[in-house]
Amino acid sequence: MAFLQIAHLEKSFGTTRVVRDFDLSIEKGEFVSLLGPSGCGKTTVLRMVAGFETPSSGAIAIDGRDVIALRPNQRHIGMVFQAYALFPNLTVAENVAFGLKVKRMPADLRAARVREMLALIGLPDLGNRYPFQLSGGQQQRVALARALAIKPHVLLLDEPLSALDARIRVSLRAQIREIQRELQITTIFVTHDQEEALSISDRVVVMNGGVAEQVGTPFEIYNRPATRFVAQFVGTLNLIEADVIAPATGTVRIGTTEVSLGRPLPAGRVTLACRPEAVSLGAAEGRPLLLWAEIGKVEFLGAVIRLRAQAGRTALSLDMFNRPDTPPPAAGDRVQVSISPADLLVLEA
Amino acid sequence: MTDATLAEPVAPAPVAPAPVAAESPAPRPRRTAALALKWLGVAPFMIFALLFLILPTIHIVLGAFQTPEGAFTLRNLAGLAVPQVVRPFMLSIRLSLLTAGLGCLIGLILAAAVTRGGLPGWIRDAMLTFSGVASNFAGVPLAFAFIATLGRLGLVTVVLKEVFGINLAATGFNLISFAGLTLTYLYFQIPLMILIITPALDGLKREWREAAEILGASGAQYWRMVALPVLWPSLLGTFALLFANSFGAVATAMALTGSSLSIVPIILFAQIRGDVLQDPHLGYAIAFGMIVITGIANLVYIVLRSRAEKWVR
Repeated sequence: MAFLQIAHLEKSFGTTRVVRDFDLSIEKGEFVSLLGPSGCGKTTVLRMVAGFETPSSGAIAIDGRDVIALRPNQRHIGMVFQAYALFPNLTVAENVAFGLKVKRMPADLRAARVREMLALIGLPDLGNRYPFQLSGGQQQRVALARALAIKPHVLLLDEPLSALDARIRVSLRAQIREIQRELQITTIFVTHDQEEALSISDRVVVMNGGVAEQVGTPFEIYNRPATRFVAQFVGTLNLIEADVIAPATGTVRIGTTEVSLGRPLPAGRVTLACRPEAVSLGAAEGRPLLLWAEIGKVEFLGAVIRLRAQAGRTALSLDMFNRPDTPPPAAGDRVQVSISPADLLVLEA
Repeated sequence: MTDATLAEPVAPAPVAPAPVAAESPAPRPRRTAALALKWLGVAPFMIFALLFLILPTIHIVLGAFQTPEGAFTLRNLAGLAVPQVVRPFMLSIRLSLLTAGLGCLIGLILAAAVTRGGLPGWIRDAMLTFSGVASNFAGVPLAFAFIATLGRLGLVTVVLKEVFGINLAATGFNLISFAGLTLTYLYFQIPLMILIITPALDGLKREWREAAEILGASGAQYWRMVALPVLWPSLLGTFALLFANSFGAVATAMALTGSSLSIVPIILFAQIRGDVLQDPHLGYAIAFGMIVITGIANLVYIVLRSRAEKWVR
């Protein structure tokens, strides 16, 4: 049995069903992200695990123990909030020690644990400062130390990076992951930032309308999206309308080009999808789908250059590495692009 | 190469500053006029403050150190030490401490109930609206309202006696007494507390409670270790403000008790009015004493308030 088991979880506010038949199993030490747009129910799931919301139905078990009837202070869970939620009247050290003091840990052990936690988050000398004297990134690290100090069974992170600026966000998420790996603590991370979720997680749960649309590793979520929503929400996607002319062999016509995908397809019209990095400039072996396109925009993203092109009525984005010896085409250039059938996803209607 | 680079800032090319110079005088009168207009907007307040606060205060402070002939003296301040003045000061301080304390306690409970008690929103709106009105309802109308309800022939007194058989007078209650004045003062003290403490209670973030709870704290531990310490400067500050508010109130006490209850504002009034005890300069000294006490209370309020704001910003 999984360490954290969520089964058939439902939550309604009035007549609005916010979470529907949500199932999730998380192994001990695993880092799982709940990813989805605002209002998809990800924070509600997290708050039900924490005990701040009571499920309308369903079960939550931690280490085999049903926790639905337990109050938040009985669940032994650590939580980091989006807005830090440090106690403003307490110093950094007192904040970290709060949970230990409540549990009546002896003062000397408490002080040692606080020192250990502050060292873990890289702020060993800031114990005497008050929260208002810290930057946002420092406050969030203290909040993490406070949550970890009680040695919780499960760590919940509710969009902990969204209030921080981009650079701090990247470095802090790496630090969070490092600490999580070091402590091997089972973690649920809520975010609406796909890059954050894909970069930090063992597995990602993509949520939409209160439902888990797909649960998988970042590789699976990105490369083999299970639904149209997941495909469109995670990463950039090119959508290509095609007519299936031979369903058995999966031969489709795109404009005047015909190509076989090598797998059976439903008859009629389908939407094919591929990532920008699956589209190459020029013809290449193993890429039988060739399209002529006109370059619209050229965007420099550092190591990568993103080209926006128009192939007939299909808008395409394609990525190429930024190599000084290979200048990108200019806007207005007419180029040939190629796609491998293996990289084409067939989206449900 | 180096010389050329260094030379550039030292001798910059004369880049036609003329248009800028030609345009610059025009905005200045406009700015001055705009600034004058802004000052004109606050002029009524400044004039009012000068005529009815600053100049009278200076007059009182100077008068407290002067003889009727205008010579410097400390005799007026020494006059504050006589029992006839000390007793009213002590009575006023007792009354102010009691009404401020009760006002804080009851007001905090009511404000907490409407802000954090999960009651419907309209109750909060209604209470805040009522508090806005009641906190400014003082003086003769308030005294009359209490006489008309809790006086010897007041409506409540009569209803209690006729309907419920409770004789207020027999219980020892008398509106024209220390207890009666305390009760009357609470009518504006409690709403004032509600008005001031509600924003502070709103400032207690939900996440603090949730963070405390998930770290293992009970509701009582959260209030003891987080909420009350965060509120403490606001509570003490509001207590100081309520104290000052009560200490300076005169019209309500005057209208309710006449001169039967000697609190400081009433003896001050008697000194200046001059029916029996006319010594305006002793009156100035008494007023000076009141200024000092209310000034200290307001200073405490400002200091504690700024401390509270620092925490929750």
